Amino acid sequence: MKNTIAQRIADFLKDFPPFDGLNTQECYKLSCEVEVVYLPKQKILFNQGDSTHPHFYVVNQGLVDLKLNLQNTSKLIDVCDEGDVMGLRPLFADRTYAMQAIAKTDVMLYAIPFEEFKPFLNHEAISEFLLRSFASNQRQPDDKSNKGVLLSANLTTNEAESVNIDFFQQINFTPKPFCTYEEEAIYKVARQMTDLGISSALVAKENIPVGIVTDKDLRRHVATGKIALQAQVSDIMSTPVFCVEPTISVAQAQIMLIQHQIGHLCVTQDGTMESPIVGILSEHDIVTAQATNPMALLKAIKRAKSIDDLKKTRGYLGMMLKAYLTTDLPISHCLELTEGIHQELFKKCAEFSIKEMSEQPPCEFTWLFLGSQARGEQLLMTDQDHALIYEDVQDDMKEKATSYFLKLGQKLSEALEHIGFEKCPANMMASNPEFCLSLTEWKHLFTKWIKSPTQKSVLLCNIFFDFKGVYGENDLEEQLADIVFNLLKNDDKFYAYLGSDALKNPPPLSFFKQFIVEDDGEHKNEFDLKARALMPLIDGARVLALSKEIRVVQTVERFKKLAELEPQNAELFNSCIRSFYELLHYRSSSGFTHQHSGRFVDLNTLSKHDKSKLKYLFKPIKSLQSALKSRFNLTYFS
Amino acid sequence: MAWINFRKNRKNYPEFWKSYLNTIKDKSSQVYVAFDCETTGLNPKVDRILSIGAVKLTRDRIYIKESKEWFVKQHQDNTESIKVHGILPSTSSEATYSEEQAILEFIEYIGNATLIGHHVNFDCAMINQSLKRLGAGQLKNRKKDTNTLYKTKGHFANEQNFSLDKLCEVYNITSSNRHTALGDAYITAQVFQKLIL
Repeated sequence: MKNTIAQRIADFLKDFPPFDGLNTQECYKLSCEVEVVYLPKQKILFNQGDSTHPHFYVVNQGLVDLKLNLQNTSKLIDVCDEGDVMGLRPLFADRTYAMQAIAKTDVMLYAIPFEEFKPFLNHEAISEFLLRSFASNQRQPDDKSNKGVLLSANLTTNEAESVNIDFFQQINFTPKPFCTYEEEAIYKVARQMTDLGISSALVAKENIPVGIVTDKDLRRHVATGKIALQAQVSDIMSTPVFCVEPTISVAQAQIMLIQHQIGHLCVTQDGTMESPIVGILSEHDIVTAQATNPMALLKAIKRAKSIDDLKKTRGYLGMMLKAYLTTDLPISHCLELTEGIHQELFKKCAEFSIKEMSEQPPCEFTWLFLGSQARGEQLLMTDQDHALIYEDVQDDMKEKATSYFLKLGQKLSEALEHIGFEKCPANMMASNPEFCLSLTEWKHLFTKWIKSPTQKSVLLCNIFFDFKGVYGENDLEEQLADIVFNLLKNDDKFYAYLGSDALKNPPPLSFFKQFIVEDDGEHKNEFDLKARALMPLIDGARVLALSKEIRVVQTVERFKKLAELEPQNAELFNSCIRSFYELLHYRSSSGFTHQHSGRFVDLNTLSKHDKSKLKYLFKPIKSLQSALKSRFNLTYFS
Repeated sequence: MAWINFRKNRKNYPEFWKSYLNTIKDKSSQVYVAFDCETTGLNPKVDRILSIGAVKLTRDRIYIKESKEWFVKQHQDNTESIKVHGILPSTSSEATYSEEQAILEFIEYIGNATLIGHHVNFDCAMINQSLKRLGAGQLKNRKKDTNTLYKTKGHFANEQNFSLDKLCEVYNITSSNRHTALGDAYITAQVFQKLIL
């Protein structure tokens, strides 16, 4: 006799994916295993970082907010309502939740145990649903409503294609895996596996897979004493081996591992068990391949053996960012991640370059990044801006040091170019003898720029004042900063130069609140987002920060510090931060979407809503510029 | 010498009741059982149980797997009372349990859980009558009545009573499958969860 409650749950579920792929009986059977969860308003279902539950959830009634917590702020990612599925993380082999789920209203949820759901994973409709879930990494792949997107149409035109890439990319398996044969003694294989540091060994007969031995088999059969160490591998191996084609995608591989509850797949030439082995694929490979996992990226960088490996990881980073931006993750999070990953990437770059040199550096040095790279505000691939500073050495060493570091600078620049950062057209690179200097030489250079300013030197200062050490364990960066701040102290004349330079771009909106567009050139009638909106904020922050001896270089951090120091202006600075984030997000997303720098915006493609949004974001720029004018007495300058 | 009688009686209890008395000694259970009886009428003395529906729950979870419904076979003589009350067991053809089987399983099922019901005293009285016919004692579980809880919570006058439908309306609970024992038990469980918060 049927259970009426279960029947009712089944009636509800069958209308929503993925359950619409089940037949009536299966759906009923699954419904019998459901636990009905009542969650009063404001109560938390799971927290970001909590270990995953044995159930996933379907909303029956009410609304659940999915939130992402970053430092002290929390960002709403999505709202789940009736029929939405959430908490599928455990299927992704993740052990913790990536978001917080909190009841927005009183909520009734159906908790469905994974154990009971797993038998249905091989249903085509269900695995397809999951594939798409993997792809969008969101709760409901069918949902096209794009809730919570800031700038409506522009960001999402390419959505489907852009997010999918990293999940459907082909997976990098381990080629030419270690193979043994059936008659081999167990202890010998165990020793070989230990020596090679691997957790599994394929068993093959003339390169055709017949089985696999894993740590688990050794533990289960041998460590328990059931089978002797001298016995043959064939006594403990798992057979048959699950085989796949070399072209398998990350998502497919992951689903196979889950379906069969196994840890390894054997890659064969045509994907059958009768063809020769070409590689092995483990859960570990999947984790590394998951470009949405920054930890995996960092690990991959640490393990990189060549510049080529680094290039690959930078590629993954690009895909990851693209996916993040389209899923509307907070830009601050993207910036933080990119900065962290770039830092590792450049460090590794430096290590490789030094290794290529015939000898160790003759003295301490620091590799500095300049401009937007130093500020950590570069999401897109841009050109490289960097310099090198080394200790003052005695005269007899000087020549050697100069030539060594110049050569190193060239190598660094080439390495960066190989990864994908184009060389700087203005030649602001450590490979340029002008910018590969000892501490004293830098001091002279900055003195020249600051004490006898010209238009060009102010321009250079704007780039060179934002510097950040990426490689080198010493205080050269600190010393250079000391020099700069000493030079700047009370130099009103130079601040006036800097200030007026920050004002060189008129406010983005004309007197009649119209966008000011380019008059001529390639981008005629397009709006220059970088020069007119972002640069005024960045430059303004720099001048103000320098005048207050604030040493951080990131624009947002500068505004934050300024807000602390001048509580009376905190509101202005905070609105600058907001605008800066939004504009940067806008630029990066449109850059990723259209494969360009995102610098110019064609106003005709903007919806009315977007235009008013942009105008709103420009407001603080005007206020900031007026503040600069009055602070540095600039009126007569411009 | 009442206590001797008591001892004597206790010895004559059927086995299932003895083991129930053992179970009920442990008062620490956090489990609740919401249940409902469909009966031939409203007088426990003469009317019979047609079906019992029950679900297990905790404060925030209802376990569907642990839900159960017993349809009780009716004897000739009380089909009369069905006619009198105009209530026909809609599922009479599915009735597969004798009264004894149903009660035995129900007692085993509830163990030492706290019983939840809407007008729970009536449902307990129905069960107690059946227990009496089987030579057992009365239910000793703790009880919570959703009607009483709601009145306490809302400071309503004691004379005022609220139907389960009314509570569903107040708490926005979808009330399909009303008037089947299991359906009502499930709804009562949901009402209870909202009441105790």
